[in-house]
Amino acid sequence: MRYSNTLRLSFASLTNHPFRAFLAGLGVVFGVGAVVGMLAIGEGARLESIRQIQEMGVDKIIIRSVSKMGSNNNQGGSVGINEKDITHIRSEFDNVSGVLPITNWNGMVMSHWVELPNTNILGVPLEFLEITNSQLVGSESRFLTAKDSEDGAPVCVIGSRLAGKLFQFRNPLGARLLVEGVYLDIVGVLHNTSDRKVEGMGSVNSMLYLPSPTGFNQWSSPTKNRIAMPYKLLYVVVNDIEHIENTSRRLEAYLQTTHREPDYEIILPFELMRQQEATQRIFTIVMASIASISLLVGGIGIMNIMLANIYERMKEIGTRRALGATRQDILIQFLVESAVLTTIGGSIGALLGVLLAAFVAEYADMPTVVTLFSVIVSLTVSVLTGVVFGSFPAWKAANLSPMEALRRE
Amino acid sequence: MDTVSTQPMIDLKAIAKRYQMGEHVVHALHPLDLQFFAGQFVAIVGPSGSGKSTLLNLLGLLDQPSSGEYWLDGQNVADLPDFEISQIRCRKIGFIFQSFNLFPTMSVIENVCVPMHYAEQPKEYMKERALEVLTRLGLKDRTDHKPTELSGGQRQRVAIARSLANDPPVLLADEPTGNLDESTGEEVMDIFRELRSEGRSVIMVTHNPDYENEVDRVVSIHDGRITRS
Repeated sequence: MRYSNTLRLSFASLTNHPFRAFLAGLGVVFGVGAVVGMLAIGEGARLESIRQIQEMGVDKIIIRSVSKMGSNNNQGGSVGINEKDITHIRSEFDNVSGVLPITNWNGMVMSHWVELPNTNILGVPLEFLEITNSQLVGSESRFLTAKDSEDGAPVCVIGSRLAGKLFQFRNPLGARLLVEGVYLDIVGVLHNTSDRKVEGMGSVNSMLYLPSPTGFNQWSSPTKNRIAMPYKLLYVVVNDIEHIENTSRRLEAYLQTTHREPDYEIILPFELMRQQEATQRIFTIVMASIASISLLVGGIGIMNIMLANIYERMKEIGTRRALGATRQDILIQFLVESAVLTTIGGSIGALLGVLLAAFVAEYADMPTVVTLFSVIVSLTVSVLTGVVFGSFPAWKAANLSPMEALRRE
Repeated sequence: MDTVSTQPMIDLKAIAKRYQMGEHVVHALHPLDLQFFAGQFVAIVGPSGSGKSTLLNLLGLLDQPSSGEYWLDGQNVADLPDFEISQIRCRKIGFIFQSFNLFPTMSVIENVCVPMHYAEQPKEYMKERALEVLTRLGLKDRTDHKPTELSGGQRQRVAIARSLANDPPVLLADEPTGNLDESTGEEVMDIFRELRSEGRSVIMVTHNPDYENEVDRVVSIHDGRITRS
């Protein structure tokens, strides 16, 4: 019974000064709005970067050949990953289900209409489509086959953007390209919807693909800084992702003993993802902390207004005490009032945060994700803000001498 | 001494109030003995600064005495913790103020219910009791008005209804007619006399000498000392 109308009472007294209540609550509105918005941006960025890394494939270890200008690190006339490494990894490593090398040439590509210098030409394994998660365009399209590879057939597949450049709106399938002095028939066009990039090279959509043997037969091995670099990339696919870190360490140990200089780089998307998650978490915490400062400022605003409230309502407090209110009754009345104020402010703020997130997603082209968790936390924090920052004014009100309070007009 | 009420409703024994003002001790009330009986209408009179408000605050448990004993309805209430003092204020004492002290955001009936909230009465009873006292004071058709919509006399009657909500044996009124014109003031005095006749102890602070003849007993205070009782 005692507190049955405390809530109604606090609404009545807040609506008594609607503009003042509005101004007092505004700090909490913006504070909670900022927290919810920041958390949404942080969460969106986290999911986006994880998506990007997952696209690289968490079940893969990527070894990239590196060549430093002027260094004399040639071993057996080549730099980076070599045939010996590939054979060794294939035969000696147990947790490895596939070793997929990529060769990277660079040169002039000519159609009947257009000539494009400096186009990336990749000698790729047959699994390339799956590795990059790309699709063929058109029902007539096919990818390179085992037979193409065995025969060193003069065929190629081109990325969708490259196709656009070379043929504009004409159909490239079946057409013939002159690639660094060699005629190649186009058997397929591929497209990657997220415009994925191949590590250290361009987009999947703007390159040309052929079986590695065709390239090796027609041209010599590609070079970097005048030294042959037969393989630009090596995808090592593992069976058991649980042991991927162990396999990666063993690969590194093996490469360290066989290569005189570090002309390779091991990329572990799995580990990258974990690091990225940790970084993103810190990023989110920092952003939310900064936003929390505005919530703190909002809380101080609440305290300010509640104190002013008490001085104005001295007579009410004194009268209530005379009519039988205990200190605790007064304390609770003022606490509930400030908690109601911050709860309403927090709810409006949460809504504002969701709008902010939607706005950022729409106009800043950043993915944002509003989690239920962040909304619940913000609302809880705003109720707590009311209780914490309202407690000093409420304590002051409760400890007024009833006689002194009644004397005020 | 009347034979009806030998046991006083209020018994003050050597009660005193002192303030420390810098190095000086100010005696707001010198130790005094005073008794109030049920069924008596008492006026406390005296010039301003005489100590009559201090006495009323002590009687109403709004202030603690510096020394002495305060027996209310057979219980020593001088040194009780806040919760119990609040409960005694709630159930044993009805307050009536010069400027009514009604809550402006609440309706008349809600104002009357406030003391019953603090007495933790059930909701149905509160409504019933509030209607009862409001009817008695001729405010039955004003229950849903806001205090600002009422005249001064009506407001003071609402305040009296509020003070009666928990049916207290003691009523304390601080200049209850101070903000009212003469005829409305008389109405209020009539109400007090009626309440006294029910066996309540009605104690009123006033500096209007005209009322001295309308009460059962006058207590005069000068400089913190009782000069007539």
